[in-house]
Amino acid sequence: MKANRFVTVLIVLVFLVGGLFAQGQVERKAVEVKVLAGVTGGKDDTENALFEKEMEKATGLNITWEKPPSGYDQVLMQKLGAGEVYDLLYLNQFQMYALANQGALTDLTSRIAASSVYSENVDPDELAKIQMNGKYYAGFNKLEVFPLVNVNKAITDKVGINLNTLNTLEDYYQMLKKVKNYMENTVGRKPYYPFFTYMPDIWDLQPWFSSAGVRRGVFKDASGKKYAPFVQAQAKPVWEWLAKLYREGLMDPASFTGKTGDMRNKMWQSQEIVMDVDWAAWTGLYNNNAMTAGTYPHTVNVVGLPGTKSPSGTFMLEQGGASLWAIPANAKHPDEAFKIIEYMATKEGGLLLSAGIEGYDYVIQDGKLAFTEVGLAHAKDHGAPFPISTQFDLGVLGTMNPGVLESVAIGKRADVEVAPMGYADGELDARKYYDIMSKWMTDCIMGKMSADAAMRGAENELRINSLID
Amino acid sequence: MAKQLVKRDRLPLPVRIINTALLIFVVVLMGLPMLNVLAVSFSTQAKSDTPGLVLWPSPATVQGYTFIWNHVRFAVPFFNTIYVSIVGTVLHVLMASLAGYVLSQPQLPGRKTLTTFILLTMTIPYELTMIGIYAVNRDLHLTNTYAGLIINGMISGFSVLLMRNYFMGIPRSLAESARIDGAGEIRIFRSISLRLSISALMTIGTLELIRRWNNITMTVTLISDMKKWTLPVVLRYILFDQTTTSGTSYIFANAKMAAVVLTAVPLVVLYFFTQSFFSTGIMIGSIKE
Repeated sequence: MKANRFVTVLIVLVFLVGGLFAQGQVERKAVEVKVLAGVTGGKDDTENALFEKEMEKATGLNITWEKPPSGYDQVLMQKLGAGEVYDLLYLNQFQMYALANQGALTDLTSRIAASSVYSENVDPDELAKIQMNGKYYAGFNKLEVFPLVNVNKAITDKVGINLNTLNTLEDYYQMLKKVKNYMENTVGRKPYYPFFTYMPDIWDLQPWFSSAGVRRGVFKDASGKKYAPFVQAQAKPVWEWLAKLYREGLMDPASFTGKTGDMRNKMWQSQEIVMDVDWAAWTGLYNNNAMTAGTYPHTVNVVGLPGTKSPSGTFMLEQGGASLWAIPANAKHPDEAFKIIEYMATKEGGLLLSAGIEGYDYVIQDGKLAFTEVGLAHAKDHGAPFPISTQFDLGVLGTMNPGVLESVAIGKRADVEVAPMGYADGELDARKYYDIMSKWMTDCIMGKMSADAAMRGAENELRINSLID
Repeated sequence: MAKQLVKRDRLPLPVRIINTALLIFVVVLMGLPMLNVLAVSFSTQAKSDTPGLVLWPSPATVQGYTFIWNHVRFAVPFFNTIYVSIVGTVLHVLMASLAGYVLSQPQLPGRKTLTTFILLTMTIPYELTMIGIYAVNRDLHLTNTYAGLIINGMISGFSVLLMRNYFMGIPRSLAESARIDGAGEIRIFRSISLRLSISALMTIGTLELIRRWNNITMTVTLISDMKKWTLPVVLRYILFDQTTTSGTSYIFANAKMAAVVLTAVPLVVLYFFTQSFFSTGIMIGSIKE
């Protein structure tokens, strides 16, 4: 009997304590802003907790910064599919289009228009790039950089080439020919294929198609008709130029089968190529890696170039797809979530998303940032190596990898147009587009068919798959 | 006589030569990538990114190992993986052998229906159940817990059926004699069935340990708390998610390969110890009704 009473009292106590605990949780959760983050945040658990605290300190909110370990896209869809409620989501541009089309995202147009933070920190041209049917469904995570032509100046200097004079396809062709001749006949590296371009996804071709004034992807004309500029008549000389490079042994045959990693290693590690098209950040990484190997700058000194001039006299580069922050339509705290979006667009937010956390990644010494060992390992990248705020001065991050600032600066030149590929207002199935284009155009470059035939074939297949009208 | 038999059983010399050559070819084919991974992991940062096949580190260094151990704090995911793999495997083996024992009893009502039902669970692709699994775990508060990683997959149709088949191969007379001597079912299960099924237990144990050790999908589904990341998840993060596009951080190939070696070594060691049980268990289990 006594035992029964004891058990009853124990059960009641457990329920009471449990109830109190649950009550506490409910109250705490009432102001909790839930964030599902992709790449942005701490690099490990300790740093992610510190990152969360920094974000809370800056915004005055109670934030849960959830950063899945891997496979973010899968996790995102799984959680949304299971009805998980978040206040803020990290998305890429395609995901934004897909979710906005389903009505799953909050329209941020009026908030962004009314935001003094956005008007003071975000370039209106950048903002226009993430518009969807005249509306905004997301804010920025970072400033997207762009792939540009990277050339190993250590080699071209030996050949006596002035890189500043390269503006046309013919200029680059002549440069590659001279380098090939020098490497094969003077240095004795035979065969030498000086140029690598990653063909499987036709990623890195924009600086060449600039000469024809066309961009990758699918666009809509004024009547809403979808078209793919890379298969239109004006693109033909560029395909023929690429085929010529291959035919004359100027393009690395591994371009059709190799990975980006192979291309990069050939560039800085073995100097098996002299030119590729890679991200602006990689100009610096090439040189930094070469520095580690002791080959910078005498053997490897990579510099960024804008590519070829378009008929209108500008250099057309392709911006990376935006990484964005969106508020789901079912978010419990949209106002608080927007406060976080705004903070990330400030220069202070930019410092957190690039340099990291003060006292952990860096300390302030004599008014300047001095990076800790951890900070150096994190390479000034906590989600936004290039913050979106126009007021953010990359110079505060101290010494950057050699060449990177110059490459990034190319994007700001008046004669350079940096814009994303054509997404057809989010209707493009990019995977299909890449596959169709690389299949046909690889045959063209390898000389298996003429440029005309390949472009016609690609166009037909794009149309059959409803990618173009 | 015995010598004659051995001689008669031997394959003709040309066939043996071809056989040996083929085996050597397969070993080289499978061994080269492993050797390459090992050699790159002990190479210097600069050498490790050199295009081409590296089969010997020159000069050899543990730079990659120290970098990866410090850079991603490899110790935490390492011990997380050991914990969830071992506890999960022990529970898995226990549950599979209990269920297998019950299913092997000839007098069990609806035995065939139950077996068919268990077989059916093996035909549903995991991808179809992913959202459901996440939702159930979330509602049971199992997300971001070790318990979630242990409980999910605690029982599988394959292991249950393997144990059932194995138990059915043990002569029933043994259990009947024990019953006559007054032993209960638990005693028969523990003292006879389990003791005679060591190779089957080791087989499902090894298979389960390997599965748990390498499990990425379930961990990614349930865990976002970085403290509870496991090795394969960290490995994927290092090998793929850290690949710089427009970012500024870069991990050299020697550190990436060091992570691969650290992740794989425990399993290789385990396999050395369990391979004899493993082959016996999987063969015997497979030929029973």
